[in-house]
Amino acid sequence: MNYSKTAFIGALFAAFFLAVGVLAAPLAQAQTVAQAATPTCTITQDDLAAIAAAQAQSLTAELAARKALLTRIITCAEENVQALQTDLAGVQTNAATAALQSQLSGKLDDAMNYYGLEFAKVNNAGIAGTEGVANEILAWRAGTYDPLADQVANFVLWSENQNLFTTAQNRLGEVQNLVSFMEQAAPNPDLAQDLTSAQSLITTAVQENNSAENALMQSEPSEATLSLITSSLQSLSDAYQKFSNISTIVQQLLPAASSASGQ
Amino acid sequence: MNIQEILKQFKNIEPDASYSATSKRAILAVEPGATRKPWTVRRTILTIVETGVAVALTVFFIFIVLGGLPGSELAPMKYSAIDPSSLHAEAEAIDMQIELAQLNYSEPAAESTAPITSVSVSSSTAGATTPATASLFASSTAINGVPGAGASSSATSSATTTVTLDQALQALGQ
Repeated sequence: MNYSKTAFIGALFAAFFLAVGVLAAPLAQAQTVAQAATPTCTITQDDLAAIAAAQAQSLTAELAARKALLTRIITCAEENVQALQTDLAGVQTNAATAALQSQLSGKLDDAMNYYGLEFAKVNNAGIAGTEGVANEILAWRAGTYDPLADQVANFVLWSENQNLFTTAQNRLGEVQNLVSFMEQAAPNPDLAQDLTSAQSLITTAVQENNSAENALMQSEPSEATLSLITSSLQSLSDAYQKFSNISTIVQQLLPAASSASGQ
Repeated sequence: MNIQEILKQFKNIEPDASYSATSKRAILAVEPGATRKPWTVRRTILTIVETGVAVALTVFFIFIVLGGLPGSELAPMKYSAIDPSSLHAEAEAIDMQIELAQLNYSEPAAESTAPITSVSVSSSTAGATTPATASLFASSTAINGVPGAGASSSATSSATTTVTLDQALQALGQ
């Protein structure tokens, strides 16, 4: 009786481990296949050279090499679109910019659809067909996708800057209070001049930032929008240089402030 | 008469019977709730105003205690406004964004101007290669300076050279 019970339990264990092994093997295999199926998106001269080498062998080899590289390029291009889509989705928007975010997201979806269609064409293409698909994608990227990608990048960059502008304006308010208090006690021309410069620079930065927003909304050329964004940031950076000057002057006038400023 | 006896006599003090009866009748005649003043619009408005003022004063004092209203002269002096470390941190964040913006500038330029320096198989070894393709796939001079070098030697030399998607598409399209 005891012997049969032990044998039964042993059989149960054996069945369990067998089942785990049977289920785990295909899973591990699927993972390996999935890893192998994910292409590397670093395309090198060697990849192009492989096509040239295949040309020397046979037309079939050349076609296979061309298809492999073309599908890899399309897959990598799709990954780029998905990365842009993720960046775009992570942007904090207000009522005015939410519409633009949605519009850009829709265009990125269109780009994904386009790549999907071109990918499907590759399967049945011959050598001339792969050339045609490559040229189509190249022309479409130059005319449609690259301006869209630039616009999305500008929008994400501009949106990320908005917190910096809010912080700088709050900082200006605090510095104004401090400087006006000190000016009442003991007027200092350097302090007043740096404060005026900082105010002027922040006003300029905000104006350029607003212009950049308008340029984004009106889908103006990406170079012009990026130029406005960069100018606004540069003005903001210059304003912080003035804040730094003010900080130095105040700490010279009020040494106690240097210990209190950490509060 | 000592003080204890005087105090004992206090127990016998009682009101006049007629006054007691009158007072009792007067108290019992009052209806419950009759002491409340009647509701009026004016009284309601006054109550709302009183409550509002109390709440406003409380909020005001809480603001003062917690650091004051931003931009108000009533706010206590904030030396943290000129704290060098926080100023530096904010300025650094701006500089990082400027660098990102400059990257956005340089990326498209680099992509469009980078030459296609590939490649590996010389025209003599390309076999059935078409002339157009050969021009793209068969100029090893850019890499190793040896015209007509074989595939293996130039593949080794170009192993680390990457191309953009557009450059690869351009190569495939010819």
